[in-house]
Amino acid sequence: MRLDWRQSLPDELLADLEPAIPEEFKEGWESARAHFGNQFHFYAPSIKHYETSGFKNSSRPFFVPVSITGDSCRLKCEHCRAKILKTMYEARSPGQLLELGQRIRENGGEGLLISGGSLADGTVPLHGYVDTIAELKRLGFTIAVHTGLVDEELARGLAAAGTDMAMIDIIGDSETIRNVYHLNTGVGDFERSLELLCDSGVKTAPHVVIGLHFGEIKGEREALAMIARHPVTSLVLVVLTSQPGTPMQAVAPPKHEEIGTIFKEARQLFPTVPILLGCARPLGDHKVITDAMAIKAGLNGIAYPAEGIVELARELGLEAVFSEQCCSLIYQ
Amino acid sequence: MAVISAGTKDECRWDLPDDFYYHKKDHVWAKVEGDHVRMGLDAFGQWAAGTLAQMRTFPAGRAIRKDHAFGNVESGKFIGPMRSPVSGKILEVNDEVVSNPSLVNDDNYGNWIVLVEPSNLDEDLADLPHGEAGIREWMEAELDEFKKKDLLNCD
Repeated sequence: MRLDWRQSLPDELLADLEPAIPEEFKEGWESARAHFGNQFHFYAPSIKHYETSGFKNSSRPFFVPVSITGDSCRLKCEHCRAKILKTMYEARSPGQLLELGQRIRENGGEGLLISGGSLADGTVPLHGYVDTIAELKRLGFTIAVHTGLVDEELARGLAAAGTDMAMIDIIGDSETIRNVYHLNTGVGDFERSLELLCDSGVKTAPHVVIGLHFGEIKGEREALAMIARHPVTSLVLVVLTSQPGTPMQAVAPPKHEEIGTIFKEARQLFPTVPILLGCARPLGDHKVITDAMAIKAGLNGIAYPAEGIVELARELGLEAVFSEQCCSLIYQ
Repeated sequence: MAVISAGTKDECRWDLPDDFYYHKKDHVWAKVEGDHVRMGLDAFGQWAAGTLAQMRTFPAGRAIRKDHAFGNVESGKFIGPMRSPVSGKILEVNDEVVSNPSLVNDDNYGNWIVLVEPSNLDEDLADLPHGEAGIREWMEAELDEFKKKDLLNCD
């Protein structure tokens, strides 16, 4: 007897979970089937223990997030205040990172997500880690890096080291950059970093946080338009998830209609680029609806799908493909 | 009370009442109260999951089976089912806890999750950790497993 998730849901949610494609998503659904076929990807990297009736990860350090600044971040973004870093492993020097990598490899780990807090200028202090990344690649790791803003030297260094995926948040609104990220930079600085990464040859997966400006839709479309000017490998959409104990903890996430519209527009703008619904999004009932919309709107994959979503994909005729890697690595 | 500890951090000390029974895998406690069984998450389970953000259970009236899920929980580092230590029928759901699951992190034994009418109690309880020695033996194996997976950050 499996947990029949539908029996635990309120009635008002059930309509969203019917295996039927609503009119507004039909174009995106058909586009996805035409360009990507019937596969749909589900991801559960070992950042979390994950077990639902449709998919379970191995709960061992298989794809491990590491912060090179520990729990320290100078930006203190309104929705995070560095709290997300507390869930990561810590390696505050290249030597510690190599040592951690060797230990994880011995325990069967295959991937590292190298992340960290930012400096006050929006960069992550990665320059000193490039040689270590190359060394970790020689150990056989798949390496994804949260880059923050980059200069040309870092972009080229990450590419030369064999980084498998560079990930960068792209913000399309200067007020959001200032008021949420507390950064004294502009939209152009984000595009410049994206350009440097793409030009360096490293595969790049920009992330767009839907509702980042205090739950409002503000700059998401501009971010997507900016990204569309560059040859990115995949696009990751996430939804504002304010951490408890931050100034934005009481901010409501965007409405599902708004999220669905961004899904739809992203699919139109990127018909041949894989689009993933990434790790961050509000949990509970909100997540169930968001995940169902992601499938119906023609996205390509979901990280940590809600209970019952794998079953919904199958009911819609999709073939579920599972991975414990980071979702941006869909090309692998 | 079985007091289990690991490493040097204060947070890595867990109290498990020795008159309760435990689901070995999901750390669901079961307290026998006359003809009924009250269930919740044990101290180690709530610690390992971190601050609980969402919880869902089957409604009152629903039959549940030993070792099968009666609900699920989500936190920043855990998404997974809560499997029942016993078979039976859910009599009552603690709605206050389900709508605010971080209460479990505040007081995991006071903030129970479901009350169950068991259907096969004696047999179901027979293989569950119980009593100080049994709990200690089970938890030592559990801690070894966490250490092996590099998941026990207690030093």
